[in-house]
Amino acid sequence: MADLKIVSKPQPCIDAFEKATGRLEYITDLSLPGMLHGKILRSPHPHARIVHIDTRRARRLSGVKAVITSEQTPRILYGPIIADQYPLAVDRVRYMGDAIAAVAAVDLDTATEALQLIRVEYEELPAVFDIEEAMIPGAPLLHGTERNLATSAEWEHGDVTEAFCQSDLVLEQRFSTQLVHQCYLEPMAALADWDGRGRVTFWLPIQVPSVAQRNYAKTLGLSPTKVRVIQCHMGGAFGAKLEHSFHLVCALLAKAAGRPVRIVYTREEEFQAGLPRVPMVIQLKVGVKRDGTLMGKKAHLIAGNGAYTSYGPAILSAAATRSDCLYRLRNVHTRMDLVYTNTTPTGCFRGFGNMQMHFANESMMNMLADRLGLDPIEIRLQNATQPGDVTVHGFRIGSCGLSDCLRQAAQRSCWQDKRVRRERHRGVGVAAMIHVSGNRSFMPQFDGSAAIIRVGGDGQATVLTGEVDMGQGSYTVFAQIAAEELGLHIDDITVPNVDTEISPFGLGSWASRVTTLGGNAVKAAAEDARQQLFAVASEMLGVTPEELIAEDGRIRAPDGRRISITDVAQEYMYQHGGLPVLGRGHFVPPGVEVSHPETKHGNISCAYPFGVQVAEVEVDVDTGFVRVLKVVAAHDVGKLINPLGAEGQLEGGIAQGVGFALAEHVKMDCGKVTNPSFLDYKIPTTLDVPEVECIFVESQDPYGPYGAKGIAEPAIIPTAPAIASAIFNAIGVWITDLPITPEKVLTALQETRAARPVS
Amino acid sequence: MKQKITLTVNGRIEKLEVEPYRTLLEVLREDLMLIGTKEGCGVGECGACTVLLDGRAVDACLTLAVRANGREVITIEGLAQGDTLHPLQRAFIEHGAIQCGFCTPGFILTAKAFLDENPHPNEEEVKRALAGNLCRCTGYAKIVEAVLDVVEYHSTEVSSG
Amino acid sequence: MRKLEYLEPKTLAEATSLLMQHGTEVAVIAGGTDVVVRMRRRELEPRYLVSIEKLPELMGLELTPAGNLRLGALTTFHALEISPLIRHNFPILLQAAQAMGTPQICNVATVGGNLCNASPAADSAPALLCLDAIAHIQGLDGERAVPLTEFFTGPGSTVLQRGEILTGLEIPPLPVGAVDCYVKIGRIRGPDLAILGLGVVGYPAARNAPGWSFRIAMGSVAPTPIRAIEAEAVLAESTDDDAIEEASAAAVRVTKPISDVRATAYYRSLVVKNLTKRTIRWVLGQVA
Repeated sequence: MADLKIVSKPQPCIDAFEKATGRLEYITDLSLPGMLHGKILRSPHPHARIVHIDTRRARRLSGVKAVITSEQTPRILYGPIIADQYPLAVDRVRYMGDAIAAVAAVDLDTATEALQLIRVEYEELPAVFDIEEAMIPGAPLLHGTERNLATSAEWEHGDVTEAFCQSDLVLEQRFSTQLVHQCYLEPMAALADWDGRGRVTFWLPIQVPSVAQRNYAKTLGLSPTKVRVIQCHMGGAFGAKLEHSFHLVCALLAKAAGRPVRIVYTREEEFQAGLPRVPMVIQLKVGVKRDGTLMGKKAHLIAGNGAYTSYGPAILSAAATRSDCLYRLRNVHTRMDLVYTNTTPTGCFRGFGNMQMHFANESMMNMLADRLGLDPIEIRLQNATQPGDVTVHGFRIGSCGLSDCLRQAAQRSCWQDKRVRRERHRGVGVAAMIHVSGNRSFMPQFDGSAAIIRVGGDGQATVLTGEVDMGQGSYTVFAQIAAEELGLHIDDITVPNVDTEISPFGLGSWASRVTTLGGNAVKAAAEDARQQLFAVASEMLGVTPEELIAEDGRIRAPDGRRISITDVAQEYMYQHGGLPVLGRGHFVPPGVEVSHPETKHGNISCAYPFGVQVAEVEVDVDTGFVRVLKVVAAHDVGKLINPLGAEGQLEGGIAQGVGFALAEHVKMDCGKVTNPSFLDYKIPTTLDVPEVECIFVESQDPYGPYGAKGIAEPAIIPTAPAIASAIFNAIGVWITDLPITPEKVLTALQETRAARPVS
Repeated sequence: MKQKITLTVNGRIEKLEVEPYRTLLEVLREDLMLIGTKEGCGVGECGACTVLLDGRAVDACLTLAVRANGREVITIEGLAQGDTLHPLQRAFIEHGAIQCGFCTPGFILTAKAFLDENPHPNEEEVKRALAGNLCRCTGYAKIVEAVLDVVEYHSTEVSSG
Repeated sequence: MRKLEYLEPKTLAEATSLLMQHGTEVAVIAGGTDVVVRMRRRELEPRYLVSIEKLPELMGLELTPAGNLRLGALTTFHALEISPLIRHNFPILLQAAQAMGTPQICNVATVGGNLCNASPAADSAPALLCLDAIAHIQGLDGERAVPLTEFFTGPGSTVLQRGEILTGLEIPPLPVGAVDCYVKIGRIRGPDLAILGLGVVGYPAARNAPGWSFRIAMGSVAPTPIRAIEAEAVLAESTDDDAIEEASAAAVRVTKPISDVRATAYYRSLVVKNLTKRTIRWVLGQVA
């Protein structure tokens, strides 16, 4: 590969200037003429029948322009995977926070007052809140499904019973992970406007604009040509900002009012009616040989869907399969149940189920190592997946830097030293992870990405993509790739947000897919654009296109003569009646397959990133407080395209991982969130994050652009199990239920009476 | 009952009539169209709405606009001098301290007020000064780096800025 | 539509008269960090907001000729943090100020507001209780002084009558060689509400006396901030290991911790015991 000039170099995000000066406009900074403010009336009951809704007083309030209930909607069921929800409840509410009615008014105060004037008569129904209780026959049913199951599956690969027989040690443990909220700083919001001819435009901070366009058209009873989605700059998302039913409520309100309507969530609504992470209870049994060879694994995962289905089924599938592929494990028996409860519907959060299961699996690996007297790094090296493997769930591993990551993390963290010669109440722990760069199973019709690069006669290059930058820096990566391939300066590249009317169809930003799939598409489009430019430049310079090089804004012939790309693009335009250079590119990941509907088996991604984190903690045994001092993170990213961005992803992901491990918890009491604010839902501050040391292993993936794989979700996945095992190393207690609060630590210490060193 | 107030915002005198229950955040964004100050939680727990009131960092969502009467307000829009960015803005950009950008204005203003009062802090002091600003994207490492960079190389500029 | 009038009296007398006049329809606002939150949540919907923020009678941070600290009610936590007077003479107040909240809140929140809001978790309270602070209150009838130990009557309530305003605190000087500190336990290291706020002042008692004079105060573990008098009495007799153990048990006995969304009563009790022990030992170690 020729020396890279822009790709692989640190690059601040391309709109950093706008963000640093307060110029960047997010959805709450936009305004349309006549725009109204919408607010949603939410159920105060976790489960109830709607007997009657009286909106008359609300309608009469001066300043109110529309009040809607399900009566004013097409009553088409909605849901990205299972359509089990109406945007406005029809006859039943199933969680505290369920949307029943909505109001559009000239200002927020009026809208809030109008909500209070809507009278709803409910007949309360018995409710169920615990995922295990909800599966007991006789529990109140939310959707009439047996045992409140949304999905359920069981499969076996190999022979687990035999594997356990052959094992020298079999350990069984129950783990649980909690409800946590993504806590992006920008609350969710939507803006919708109809054009008077039956067409609606959405302005949405959303990770999946093209997919939403289709899904929303369906639920609104429209042809997709009647729906346009314009993606707004986003103040963070981390998975929460995919489809959401309140977008539809916004559109329905706008239709009723005949004016644009914007709905903005309050922070309290975020906690009560957002889409928190799927909580899980995992019963895990693993058998291993004395030398550390993994023999077999049996797992039962019970996952909380909440009252309606967002992406729970896919999240559970990911949890049930991905982490097994970290090691050369052949015998697995898995049962997974996704359960409805009368609580806030759960959804996507960075890590997507894989994070929850890694907590269980990697904690278990550390427990096994401890019982066998083996080093936790060594036992992982022993079992580590290698390049070329086909894992038990059918992942075809191309590049794999796992073993490298293990060795480098161990070395840089002074692993040996710190495990043995520890200061009092300090300890270290390790965890590894595997994730995907894309997921073929998302949409049956295809997987891949596309890009169009327009190089105008003014020399400005515009990259049109269907993928989204939610702040993670994907558009910066695209700009780097386009600049590299076209020989332009990065300042001459713009990457506008997705507008479904103009942009290619994009599956969106999730599954850490954007660098690998989107990046490849941009690279292909840039190469196509470059070819068109070279065709013209070769005439202008009198050499063959093969002899040309594009760099620094110019195209150069072998003898040194140069012409500016702007001049070439302009000449192209003159030759083609005004048409700009339009580079087209797309990438379809080779060798991927939709996973088997029952066993979830299949090679779902063309590239798998790996990572290892070593956490060092200090425990205050008087208060139970755990302080994470340092995390050494070694991640296999295939190839670093933007070192600055990749470090930012690791540092940010680890901070979220620390919160998940130690402090964050959406607490519920009979379906009511009891800590719906930052006052009582504590996310890490500057004083709570560890020192992070980043190590990037470049395993050069054969399919990634320049060899690159994803980093966004990998960053967060190993942190919690690394911390849990560091705590064990420090004070000799295992805590298997997240979050590991000071109270749990103190209680565990009381029970063991003293902190004892690890043997 | 609307009240007449006069405040200086980013060096400009603004005469407004506001209801006493309106916050400075609302008035800045809605009446003065200064959208750089963001609302993250509305109750003073995230720092995204930080502005400078007489040089001190305050949560604009907890400040009644009437309280700013006769006082000086600086928002993110008031930081750059024409085309010249404030050293903190430059440092945030260069260090990759900005991802989604929603918390950025609040952080930069908090840092500015802190450095104006404490030109030579150590790392721990910088972290304490920024502990009232939440960021969910960056994990804070590069934000602290950016501020320390400004301390080291631009302390003369900052104290006069 | 909401009706709200914002009043800015120029003198304390004018302020107290407004409070008498408008009774329950009035809310007093200083820094506003408590009041504005409650107003935005519609928990507080006053008809009149009386701002006391510019009243000169409520300002000031100085030593009187007698050596007492006079702390005006409008003293912000930031002012406490940066005051050399506080740093040298009452470091416990510096630590309480640093622990109180985010820098943005501390820039604006006042000691008076913190005390009058009377949250059991108020960070200024344990420190001030340890310092034997006296609260000065002004009403229409004139001024009265109340020891801070008698100021709080329950969660969110104080001895302030209608029309009365807390003007400031008077704090006697600490004996030479006293060691004082404030320890706050939250759920994270960053700014947080106190799960336990512990203020401790200690100094050797009279020459040849067996024990020490300790003052121990706690927040967040009872309906009001409290002093652990029994624990103090134990330490007056002896400061050996048994006495420290007994004192920490006595400290737990005076608490009435609740289980809430932040912590359980069980955890609070454990932390009271462990932290009291640890802090007493620390204080003893400082002087030694």
